[in-house]
Amino acid sequence: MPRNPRTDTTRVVVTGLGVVSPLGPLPDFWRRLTTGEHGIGPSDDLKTRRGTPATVARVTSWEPKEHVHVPALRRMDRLSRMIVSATRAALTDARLALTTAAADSAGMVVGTAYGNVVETDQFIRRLQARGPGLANALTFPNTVLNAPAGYAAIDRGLRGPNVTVAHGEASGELALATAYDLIRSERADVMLAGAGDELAPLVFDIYDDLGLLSPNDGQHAWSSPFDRYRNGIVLGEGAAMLVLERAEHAAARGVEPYAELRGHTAQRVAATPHDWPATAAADPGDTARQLEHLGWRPGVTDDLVISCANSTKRLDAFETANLTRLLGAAASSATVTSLRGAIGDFGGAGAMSAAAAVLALRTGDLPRLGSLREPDPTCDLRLATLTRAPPAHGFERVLVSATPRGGGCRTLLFQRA
Amino acid sequence: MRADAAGRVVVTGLGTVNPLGTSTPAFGSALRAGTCAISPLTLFDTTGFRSVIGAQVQDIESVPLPAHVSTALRRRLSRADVFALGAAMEALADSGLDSTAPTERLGVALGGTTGGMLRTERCLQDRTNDGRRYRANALVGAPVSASADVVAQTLGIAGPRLTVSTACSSSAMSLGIALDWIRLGQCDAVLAGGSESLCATVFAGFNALHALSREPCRPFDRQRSGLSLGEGAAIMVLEDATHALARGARIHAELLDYGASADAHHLTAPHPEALGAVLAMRRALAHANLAPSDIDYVNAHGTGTPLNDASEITALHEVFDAAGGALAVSSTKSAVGHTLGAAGAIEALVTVLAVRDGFIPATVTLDEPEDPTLDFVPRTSRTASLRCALSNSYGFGGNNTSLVIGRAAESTH
Repeated sequence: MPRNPRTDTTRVVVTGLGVVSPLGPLPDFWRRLTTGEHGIGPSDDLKTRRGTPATVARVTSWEPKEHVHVPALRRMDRLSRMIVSATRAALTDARLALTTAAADSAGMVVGTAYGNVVETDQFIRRLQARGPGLANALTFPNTVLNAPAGYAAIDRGLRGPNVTVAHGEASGELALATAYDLIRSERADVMLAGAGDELAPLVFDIYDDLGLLSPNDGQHAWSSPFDRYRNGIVLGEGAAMLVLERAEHAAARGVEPYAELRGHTAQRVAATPHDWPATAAADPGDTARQLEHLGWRPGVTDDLVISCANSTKRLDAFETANLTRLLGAAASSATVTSLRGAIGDFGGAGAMSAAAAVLALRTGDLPRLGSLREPDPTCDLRLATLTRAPPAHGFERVLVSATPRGGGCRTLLFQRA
Repeated sequence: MRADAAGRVVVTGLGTVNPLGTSTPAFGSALRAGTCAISPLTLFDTTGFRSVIGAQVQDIESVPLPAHVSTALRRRLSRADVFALGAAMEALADSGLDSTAPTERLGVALGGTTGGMLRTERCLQDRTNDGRRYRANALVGAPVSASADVVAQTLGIAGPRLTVSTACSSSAMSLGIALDWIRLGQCDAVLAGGSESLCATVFAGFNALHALSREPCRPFDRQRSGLSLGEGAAIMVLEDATHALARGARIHAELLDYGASADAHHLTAPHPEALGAVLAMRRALAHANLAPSDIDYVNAHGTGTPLNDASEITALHEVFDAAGGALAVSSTKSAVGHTLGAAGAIEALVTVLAVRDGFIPATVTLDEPEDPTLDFVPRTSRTASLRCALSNSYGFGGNNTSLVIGRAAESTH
């Protein structure tokens, strides 16, 4: 008989984290988030179409060659190096030394919105300039979206399911949700789950031509979600990987989890397939019902919400309306924050939100909106300002909220282990 | 009957747009007739390539789109989006799931690898030719995840949405994940499959790897010399069996389970002992509670490259030899080409038709079998009653997925 996991009670916990971010590796990432610092600065190489220097959130304090120099992996592209580096760090953090048998039941899910755009762009440029005879056979395999997950599996010998998923700016949340489902479906005991995207000239051009980049009001370039004077996206990059594990598996190893991934939700809000939904479309009814099914009702405990608000007029207004409705009367007690003011916006950023969520649950502290000068007057949410103190006994639950273009909203619900 | 249906997932809708047909009945007929759709490509300039052939969808204009799709959106749709929409609409209509069903219990899980790459190439050509004409915002719908967004928003499907991109196993994995969604109670039904459009970039990549065949690909043939690329989409409605039975739906077949693994060996070369492929098949059988002897047919990955087919033969012997008898194995890539991100779904659809209609599709270009101990069903399809079948998909990165598909009569009694 087929198993029926819908009746089973498998719990999934987070036991390890690895981060390659514009704020630095894990300790710096968390310290700087809590103190409201950001990793945004002028770009060395990118310019806007108007010729002005770009403002970006680059991963700089990280030298890939220091982390990865295995001969079989020498042709890895930069995004793959970030993912492999984050994967190694997460496994070390989880104290998981995978034997061959254990690696057979360890898989991975990597989310990415665009993948290795840098080398794909170079491949096409060369093909168009010099013809098919000189196309680069060595970089072509790297242009495939699942190259990072493939390299990471080779590096660590992971023979469980190996999945790469994409869903625009919700790619990180989707990766975590998919890994959770794979464990609950008994496809693996351990899943490395996370996401990454790289700041590529072509992606920068797309956002620039769409008029989405800060400063699209001609003022100074910055990223300040929920701010009255927010003026567009600052593009970022990076990778974060989390070790998800069946709770019994972690307990048998004697490992103290960071937190439990309680579950996830998905709902569509009306939107054109290529844009964020309008504020009028905010109706989180399905999400609220699914969260209630996971045992979450807003206001019962002190909660933190890590939103995808990215400092655009449109998305931040939608997130404000959607979260206000979702939280209802609890909107005055739940604290709302976003990482995009610190690490910029990119497809895989949701995995960093997930990493911050479990760090908030373990440490009792929270990522603060360091750039926030004046909250948008239409925003009644209790924002994580620089002076916002966490609840005396820490947070009970953290909700990660994602609204990608195309209106496929997702949330992840974490709670104390 | 209700109790038996618990946890089972059945196929209640079929849709496809591919080089052999722009509907499932047309595709099924061409498949049984042994037609090969691989011919000279016209979609892009093939000057300078080792091979000039592939399996191209010739009449994309005949793919119906919903009337309410605006002209502005229509202009932004990639070929992969159009294939996906056409296949999704056919599958939904075939399933009989009407618009009164709660759409938040309906999900979309697609696989693909390059999305709107063809459009990206044209945009980047503008950048090279004349920087003033270059408009990168034309690429807003280019990511591989766009097709799932287009399908969900255009057809108003409100449940979970996902795009898998694991190269050539993408849409086998999306079907597997959709099965898990239903078993986990997240959905009553899922539009699951994949879509892929031919493009010069991928053609050039395989060309540079010396992987393209100059003649239509010949999987499992001693004379095989590479693969033939193709394009298209296949999407099916996977549905909770209890839900399907309650509404009296027509059940085409049952998706019994799947197995997934990684080689953890090399980004492009298969494992020499086919370790990952063996793991995927064994996991699929174990999850489905089946023995190798329960499998009557394997729709192989069978790309036609020397390495892939040799490795897959090794895997088939490892898994099936103890079962005895000559296993029927065929590669329908010989007819529709290698459709990359759509291949897993197109071949799963072939396998559904095979168990439903009782036939084994041929390896239509095969003359000299690489391994005489296996039955590769050369040239001509044949009638056969099939209980259960496997559909194998392997991809760059070392991803392996095997789907187990069973006849409906076996599964829902």
